[in-house]
Amino acid sequence: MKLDFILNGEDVSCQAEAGDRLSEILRDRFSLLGVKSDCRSGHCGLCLVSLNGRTVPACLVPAFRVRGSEVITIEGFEQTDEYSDLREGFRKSGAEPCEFCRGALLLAAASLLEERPRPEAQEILERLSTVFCRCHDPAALVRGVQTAAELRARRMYFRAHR
Amino acid sequence: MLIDEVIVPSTLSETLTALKRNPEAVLCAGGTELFSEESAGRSGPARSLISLHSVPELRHVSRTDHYVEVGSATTLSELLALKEGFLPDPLRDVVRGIGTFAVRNLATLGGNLSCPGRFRDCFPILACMDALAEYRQGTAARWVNLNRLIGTGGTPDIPRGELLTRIRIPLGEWSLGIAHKIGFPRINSRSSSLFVFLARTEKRVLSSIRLIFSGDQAVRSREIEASLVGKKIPLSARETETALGAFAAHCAQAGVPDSSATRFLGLVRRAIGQLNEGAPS
Ligand SMILES: Cc1cc2nc3c(=O)[nH]c(=O)nc-3n(C[C@H](O)[C@H](O)[C@H](O)COP(=O)(O)OP(=O)(O)OC[C@H]3O[C@@H](n4cnc5c(N)ncnc54)[C@H](O)[C@@H]3O)c2cc1C
Ligand code: FES
Ligand code: FES
Repeated sequence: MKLDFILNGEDVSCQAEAGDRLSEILRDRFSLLGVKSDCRSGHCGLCLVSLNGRTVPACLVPAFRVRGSEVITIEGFEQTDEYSDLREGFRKSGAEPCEFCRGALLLAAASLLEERPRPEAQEILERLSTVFCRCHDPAALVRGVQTAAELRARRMYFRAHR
Repeated sequence: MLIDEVIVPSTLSETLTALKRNPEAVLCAGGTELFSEESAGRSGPARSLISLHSVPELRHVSRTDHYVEVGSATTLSELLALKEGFLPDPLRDVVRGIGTFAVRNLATLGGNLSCPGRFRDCFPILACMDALAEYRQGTAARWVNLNRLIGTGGTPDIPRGELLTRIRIPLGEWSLGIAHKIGFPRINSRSSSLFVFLARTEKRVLSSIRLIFSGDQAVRSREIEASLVGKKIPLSARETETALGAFAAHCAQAGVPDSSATRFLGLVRRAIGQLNEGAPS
């Protein structure tokens, strides 16, 4: 089937089998290798993407659901101010995720800040536990997201008062 | 699953027409069960698939004084986003424990209640609440108490060829609501189970009690529940032992493996303990 959709802000199109997974399509057809493909069963959280504004495991999204939708991967998210807040927050707190988890952790954190601009530590841990990373000091991750939340709030404030 | 045709209806009536024309088609709501690695092998005959993700009628949520009605394709995240108090608390707690937030962004309530093979987490809590499910096929519609989905041997008896459209959840305060998951949290495990205990007391008398232990099979005895209604809280040691004895006999009769039965009885004992503790002295 022909898939037309918006990928990282651009109109794109490709051919796929109806049951192909979005994670495979993004990696194989569009070389977006920031989308990892590990467990292919929704468990590891490494393939997170935003689908129509909702963060989902791309390995559980069949091709036919992608038609007419808007997909943002970590490569697209990297172009946003929200990404800069999180990168800076993580850097300041000493939480530097490995290349494998980085994209998914940042997208998971971003989805939380979208819903809860000032999240509690417990909410952050709950959200980030979606990504199967066992190497990080949880306290550093919490500090990283909370620092990003402050940076984001400041940025929003200045934008509103410009 | 090999797919030879995908139908993406945009209204309920289109969905029902598509199902009537393709009674063997696979219904796909969130796809989290259908497309997870274990179930998504590329073998077997190619199937037609009807996707429910673009049908607004199946995502409608409403509330009266007596019940909440939830469209079957409402995602678990959408349920959690409803304002506090909209859904009964014990149900909210169960939904919050399912998968990860990203899985809940896709997974639907209807899909959770329609997984073949084993009962998923929303089933026992909703069955305890005597929730009703509306099934439609062509122009026919019927409401089914979820407890009727417990087939012979306690295994799921999910209607086939019918579309689950809405779930009607009765409202009402429970004095005690316990939902205890056994197994790894957030994992799509074939071996996890859920114990649900709901009790309502009025003036220190048990006016309603419901309990289910479910996974591969669901264990519930309305007779034992009825035998406890009207008893004073706290239950005496003798009343507790009698109830536990009756549950043990029920498990044996239902063919529940010993290890599961022991777990179930332990959880019942603990829940009764909590109920007794909460009773004003
Ligand atoms: C990582 C992961 C973790 C999970 N953790 C849990 C957990 O902790 N607890 C738990 O209970 N489950 C869990 N699950 C299992 C399952 O995915 C969810 O229960 C989910 O709610 C299923 O909903 P869905 O919309 O994705 O269903 P689908 O995959 O779309 O469908 C599931 C089944 O229901 C049928 N169906 C769907 N909608 C309808 C309808 N309206 N009418 C008739 N039939 C229908 C389908 O044909 C299919 O047989 C997990 C899954 C994953 C991938
Ligand atoms: S590859 Fe998608 S969750 Fe693991
Ligand atoms: S950051 Fe990759 S395993 Fe922890």
